[in-house]
Amino acid sequence: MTALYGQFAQSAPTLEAALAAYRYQVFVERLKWDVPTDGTSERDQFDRLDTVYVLTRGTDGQINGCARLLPTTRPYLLAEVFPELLNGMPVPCSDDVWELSRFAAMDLNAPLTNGQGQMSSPVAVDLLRASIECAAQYGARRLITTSPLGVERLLRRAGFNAHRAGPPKMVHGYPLYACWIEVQNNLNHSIQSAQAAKHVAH
Amino acid sequence: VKLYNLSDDGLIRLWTGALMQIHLQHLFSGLDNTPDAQDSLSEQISGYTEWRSPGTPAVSVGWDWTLRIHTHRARSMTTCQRQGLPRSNLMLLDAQGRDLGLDNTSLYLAQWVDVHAARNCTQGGLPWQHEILTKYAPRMDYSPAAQL
Repeated sequence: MTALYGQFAQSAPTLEAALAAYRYQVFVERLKWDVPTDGTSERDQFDRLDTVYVLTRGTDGQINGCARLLPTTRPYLLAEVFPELLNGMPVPCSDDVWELSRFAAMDLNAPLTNGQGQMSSPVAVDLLRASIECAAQYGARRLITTSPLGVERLLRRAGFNAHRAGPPKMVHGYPLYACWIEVQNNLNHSIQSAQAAKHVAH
Repeated sequence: VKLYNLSDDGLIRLWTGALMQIHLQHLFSGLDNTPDAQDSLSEQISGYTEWRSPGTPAVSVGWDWTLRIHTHRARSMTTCQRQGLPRSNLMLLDAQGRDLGLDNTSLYLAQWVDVHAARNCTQGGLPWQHEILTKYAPRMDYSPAAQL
């Protein structure tokens, strides 16, 4: 698996278009989310020139995971659409807090199995690690996410340092919640995991 | 008197002793499986349940569960058990006011969820098993073939 990140709308428009098409297939076709679409790609008002994307590709070169990072100093999903998920806390607006959204790890060539949803471990774990590394590069100290509740299990199982911001809420029949993810703690954890893996490999 | 406040990191910090004074209400529960799997009967199903305290900021706790049918001498019984550790926005504090850590908080909450499951809300309980059994036990398959 390979991971790429950057402001694709500026630096790699073809990649950005492929990512929007992948998002359409995942969020609109498979997960039936009610989000803006032109019929082949999925973008919303938070997909801007300064938006940072993270993607993973499988051995066949096909995209199998995506995530979106937005600075909280500019408009972002949680602040604009779901501020109630913050449990009464003022919406973050800081250079060192970034939002992680549109997170999905789904191999579109594989049949959709029960309970898989948008999360197919271990791609999801690798994607989240890449997202945290990317966020750190952009100066993030913490991430705030708006995610399906199932993501919380994934974070717990994979050993990420994260916690919910408040009670979840049903949106269009699916439970959503906001989650805080500590960047530095999880970076250290990733490095330790990678070192342990190298040690085993040798 | 407010028992707690929201910290800057988004956690609610609470003395372990004060946990007993928090009254959680059922928010919602659901199944793990996709909608088509929910339509069929099964001898074992699993899901999640979410509870919260009234007001804002709210204490939020959720955990996973499994319903199973056990058969002994032609009698069937359904059990509801917590699976794994609870997830929450709590950070419990020790007697010196120090953070217990997220892992220790989850362990403590697991015990709390289990101990209070047998009591109803008016007794300060957390009758989550009753909620789950009422909602999902009718979906269980009690036919003899399912027990093989």
